[in-house]
Amino acid sequence: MTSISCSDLDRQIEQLLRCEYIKESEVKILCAKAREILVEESNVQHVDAPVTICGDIHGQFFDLKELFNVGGECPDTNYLFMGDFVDRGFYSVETFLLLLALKVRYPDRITLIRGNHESRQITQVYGFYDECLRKYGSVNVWRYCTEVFDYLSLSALIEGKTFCVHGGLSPSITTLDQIRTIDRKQEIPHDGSMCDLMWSDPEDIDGWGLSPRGAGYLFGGDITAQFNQTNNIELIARAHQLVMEGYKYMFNESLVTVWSAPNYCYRCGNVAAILELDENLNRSFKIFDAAPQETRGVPAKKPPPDYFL
Amino acid sequence: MVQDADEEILIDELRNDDFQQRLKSVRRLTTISSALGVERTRNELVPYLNELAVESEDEDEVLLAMAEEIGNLIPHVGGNEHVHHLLLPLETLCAPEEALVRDKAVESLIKVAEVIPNVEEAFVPLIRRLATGDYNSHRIAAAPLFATVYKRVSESSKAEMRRLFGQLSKDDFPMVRKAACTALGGFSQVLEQNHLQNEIIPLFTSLARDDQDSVRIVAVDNCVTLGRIFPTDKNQSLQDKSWRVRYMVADHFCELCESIPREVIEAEMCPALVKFLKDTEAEVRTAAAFKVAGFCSKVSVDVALNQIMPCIRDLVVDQSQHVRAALASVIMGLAPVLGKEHTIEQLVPLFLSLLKDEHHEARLNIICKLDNVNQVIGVECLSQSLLPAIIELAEDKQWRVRLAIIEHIPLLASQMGAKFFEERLAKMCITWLADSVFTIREAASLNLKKLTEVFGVQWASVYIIPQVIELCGHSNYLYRMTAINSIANLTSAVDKEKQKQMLNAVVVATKDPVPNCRFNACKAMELMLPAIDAQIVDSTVVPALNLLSNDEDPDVKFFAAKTLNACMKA
Amino acid sequence: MTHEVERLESTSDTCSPAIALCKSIASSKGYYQDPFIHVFVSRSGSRPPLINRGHYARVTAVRNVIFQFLEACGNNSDDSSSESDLAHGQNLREQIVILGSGLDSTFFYLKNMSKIDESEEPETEVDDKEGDLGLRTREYTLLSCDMRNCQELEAALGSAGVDFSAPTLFISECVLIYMKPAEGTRIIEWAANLFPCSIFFTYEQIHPHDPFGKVMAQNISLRGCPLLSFEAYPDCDSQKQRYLEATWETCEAISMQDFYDGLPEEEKSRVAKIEWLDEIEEWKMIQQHYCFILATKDAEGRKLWANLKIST
Repeated sequence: MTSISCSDLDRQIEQLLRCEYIKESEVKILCAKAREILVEESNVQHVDAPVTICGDIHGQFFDLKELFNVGGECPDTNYLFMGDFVDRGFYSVETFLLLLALKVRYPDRITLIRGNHESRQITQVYGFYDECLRKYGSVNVWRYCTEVFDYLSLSALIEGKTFCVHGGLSPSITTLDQIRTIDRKQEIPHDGSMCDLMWSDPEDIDGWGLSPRGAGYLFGGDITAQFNQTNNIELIARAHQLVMEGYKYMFNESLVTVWSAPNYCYRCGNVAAILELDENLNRSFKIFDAAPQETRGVPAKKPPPDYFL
Repeated sequence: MVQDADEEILIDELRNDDFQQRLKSVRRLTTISSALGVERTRNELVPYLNELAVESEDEDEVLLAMAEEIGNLIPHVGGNEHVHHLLLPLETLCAPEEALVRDKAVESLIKVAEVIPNVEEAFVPLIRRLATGDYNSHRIAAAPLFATVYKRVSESSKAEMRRLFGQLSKDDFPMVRKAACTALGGFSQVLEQNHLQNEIIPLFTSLARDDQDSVRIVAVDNCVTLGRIFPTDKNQSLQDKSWRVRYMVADHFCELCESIPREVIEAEMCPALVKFLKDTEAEVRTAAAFKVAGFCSKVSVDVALNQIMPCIRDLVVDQSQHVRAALASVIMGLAPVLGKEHTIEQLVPLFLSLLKDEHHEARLNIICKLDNVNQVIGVECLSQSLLPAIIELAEDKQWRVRLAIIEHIPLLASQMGAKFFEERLAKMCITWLADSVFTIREAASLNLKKLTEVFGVQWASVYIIPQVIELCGHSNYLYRMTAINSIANLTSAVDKEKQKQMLNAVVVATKDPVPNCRFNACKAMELMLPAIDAQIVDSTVVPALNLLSNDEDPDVKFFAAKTLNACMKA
Repeated sequence: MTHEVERLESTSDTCSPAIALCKSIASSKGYYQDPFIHVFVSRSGSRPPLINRGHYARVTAVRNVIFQFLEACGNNSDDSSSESDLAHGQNLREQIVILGSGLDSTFFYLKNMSKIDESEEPETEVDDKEGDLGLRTREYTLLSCDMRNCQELEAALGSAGVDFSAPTLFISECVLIYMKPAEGTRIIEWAANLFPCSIFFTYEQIHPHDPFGKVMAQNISLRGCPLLSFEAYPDCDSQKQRYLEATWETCEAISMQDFYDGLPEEEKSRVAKIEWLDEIEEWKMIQQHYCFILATKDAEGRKLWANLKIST
């Protein structure tokens, strides 16, 4: 067993909360310990209420801090993050390592499930790879983190009633047990049920449709109703799609998209949301804006967001 | 000791096809150099680096790293008498158009210049080559080097360097002039007084009138840092046709006034500021708005009232939210300058208007500076005039505005007295405890402690404590935790009897079905320990914690053990 | 109004290299062929797939209009050119005027495609920098002038040998929007009045009032080049109205999203395979905030442009 003391972890968490990344040697140990914890989790990880459900973060570290300002700090508030911790934002390293350090320190207080960006291939296009290289001068940290990605659970089930997944449903899955049998410890495949869970989107159609993303599927209200009935589920909570209002119900409130990256990519102008489920599974959405400039510390020289100029 | 073969590999890696590998090797130059030893570093590694730099086809990132690492080789060449070897690759690295690489190379050149013993023979020729080079990039690189070595060269070289610098300031290429302008400040600090007057001031004057605004902007910056040396050309900049230059001047306005006597400020600078406050560009007005309080402290009250105040009244309703927010952040600073009477008459209406600004930043900026006004007009007057607006803001939808209000509550409370406070604000303080935003709940909790300190236990046991204890039974764990934390905060401010009642509430919380409440009860007990009698610790706290140290939840166990540990120590 | 000149200067200083770089990256990724754009670019880099795809759409739209223009003019010389040639006593030569060209490789691309014949079809690019920057060859002229001064513009084009009566295509990609509304409109009116047989093709931002548009205005303004006409023409309809009021005879305006959706399926699927684009919502959103505008005028009534359309 990898050993790492609470006081070391507390110090690392404190450091990461200041948006300072920890040493490569510390990352290595942290990631090893995280894998030990995550390997024990189910593909459909059981989670107790109360818990606060969060969507995509995408390396927007200061907005994650804003999320904690609104939702409360970990471990006091229980959290479930539905993936896409990295890429696009400027602070994927700090964001992912903070969440991971919290996971290792408080495994029962925070649940992390995998998003489609927790992948070697995608992170090489959308920024996490380059950021690791820039910040550590080597790709070791990226390698450690991507090894952790393979161990992240694929979904979570809150009190048997709320099913949480990054993307959505798959035509090759009708029951939760089918998810439980997936061998998840691998890079996200280009197709198949594991890929679909990370990539699919709900859409106002009947049945299944082709996804414009080139991976996963579009699934309609009928599919959702069927899945929820089969598995005795009340709500599917998922992330994956930018929602300008932070959250969006579909299919008679049988599915909700939660999006937690405000002003996504520093460009979209959207607000973000988290979904608080209390101990009686009462739902309450909290909306928040991007962190104001002055809380972001000394602004490093950042490339402005891209447009067609 | 690294073997020869390894060294070859290390050097080969510098040409590896994989850019990442190259970058990595460059980052390890000092290691490679240590392996090679000083002689081979000088004779093989450095020339080799120069070759690489000459090819210069590489990614900017590699060149950038190289420019930096060569600077770190200074201790590796066998003493300062050999550092001149490093100049060649650095000079080569001044050629790329990429400014980052060039700047880094110049930084390293300056490092070398600082330790190089034979400046005259080794460094002056380099400056000469760069300053007269064909590449713009070389001439840009030359500019910052002059200041570093000027004092250490012969009279004839000094004369040449002044001449070369003059050439750069008149270069055809604007970026070179800009570089010269940027370096002017540093250079003039090492120059002799007579040369300063005769040679540099004319240079500055021409740069300050440059037809490129980018050059003039830098000139303004220099004008500030060298305020005393060049008082002559401020006027030029005040009326510059470029809004960027006007912006820079406005942004440095108070510094510009520093070396000027009050009469001149009132006669010349004041009209200039008025112009900026009415500028067509919002950026300029914003920069100027930030300066009004600082500026008014430099002039008589009459001038402030008659010349600046009318502009301020316009800015309060400026169409740009940034202008209004800027003004809101400084306007409270005018209160001490203008004095009580004028503040009440002239400023308070403006505060009120900004407190209701549609842009939350303006509202926030006003609230954050309430202290300033309070000191001038007194809280009574403040609360009469501003309280209704404040109460409205207590429910502002921006939580940072609510937070700012909460943070001012203890101050208001201490000045308003209990009765007035009860009527208007007490209920609100309890409402904040159940705010939907965590930060507000946390601040509200601390606020209760401060209020108790102001109004006393009697007051708290009517207006606060029952409400907090009631909140311990809330159906949502987040609010129960707020209640528990509030109790922990309050303990030190209440008497023994109340403590007991509150401790009981925490003990109840140790049996909460939600683990988070249980371990927060542990944390609360730890905070309460210093205020609780040892006997009660033994009879109540320890047994409750002992139960929790067998809890099924690991975090509860952890915090129970931690608090138990604290009990033992106490 | 000198401060505006600086704004425009800084627009081209900030934007031109950035656009050239983006276009070069998209081209090197294989989105489209442009063997010359890299010459205008001094460095390498990478951009997100969304930006690459966007530049592909933009370049495709511009080329599409250029090809249609050249084809329409070619038809003209077959059928009815003799008449107008007689009327004007000179040869008809198509002209392309690229306003605010920055670092533009269009001429070299067309030249390479043999779309430009030695003696015909000169291309003129106008940029808005100060100074004596300029270049002139038989078929390609690079001019520098303050475009908001139409007299200056007219004189500059005249001196470059531009024939005001010849069929002329104006291209303005994100140029007018950096000017004040009245200044841009003046150019649009000026072109319509002076060139009786011409096309005005524009690419620029729309929808300033929604959250994405607001952030876009703010971010672009932070680069030092605010979108001064963004609010004045907030959508396709108002843009269309603007050109029609400036006496253009026809005007079509469509969003970039409509343009892209209308591309041939096989082309879209080719493009989709170049890079995996995960930014679906953003891709839609950014496309909704740009539009293409095509205004035409043919005072001779030859219906030269009857078949021209923005979409492919």
